[in-house]
Amino acid sequence: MLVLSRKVNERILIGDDIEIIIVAAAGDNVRIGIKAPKDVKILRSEVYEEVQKQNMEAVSVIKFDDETVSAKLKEMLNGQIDKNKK
Amino acid sequence: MANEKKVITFPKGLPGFEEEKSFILSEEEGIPLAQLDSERNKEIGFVLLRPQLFFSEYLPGVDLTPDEIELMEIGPDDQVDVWAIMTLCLKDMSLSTVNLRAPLIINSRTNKGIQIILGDESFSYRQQIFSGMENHPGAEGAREGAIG
Repeated sequence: MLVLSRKVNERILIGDDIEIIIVAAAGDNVRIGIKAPKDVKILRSEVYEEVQKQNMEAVSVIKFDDETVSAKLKEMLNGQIDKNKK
Repeated sequence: MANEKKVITFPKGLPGFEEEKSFILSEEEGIPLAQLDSERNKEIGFVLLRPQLFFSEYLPGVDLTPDEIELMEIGPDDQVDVWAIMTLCLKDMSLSTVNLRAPLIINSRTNKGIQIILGDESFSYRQQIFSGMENHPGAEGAREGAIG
């Protein structure tokens, strides 16, 4: 991994069209500005971890084969759809 | 119980289940609900909901990156299906939530899909379906004017 030291307002260029600027730094908190083409995906890494966690939670409680659970769920969803129509 | 079954390939797997690439989608009839089960690991399954019927302003269009378009082999005339993963609360079903921040996008022609993560932070990973409807996703000012 390339490690660079930068001061506030200094920039880093990646390739031809990505630019990173250090906007502010205070203690262990750094604000970073990123200029990149729209089709480049930029995510805080916690966001992916959060989706992993949520997916694992979603799978762990599944009991859809249980007819009482699925009947109840369908009844509630239908009720909600009716409510939204009004 | 379930009706039409389709095998959907997720070339990247799903976050947390990156090794699971092949799922069986069983859509329920008459209700915007489906089950998505891993083909190789029967313990792994999800309940999916079509979110647009519950959240009318949700995702009128999807911005996909060129990589995502290639991964799902989306052609100019292709339509994509949007599903959201539910987290059921079995103790109290009214507390069940749906993940609007990371919807599943499926190309119904190629049966290839991907779970995308939306950049818009106003969409929740745990959006309640049956209560708290006043906090519509996307309506950032929803809580404005609330006292306390």
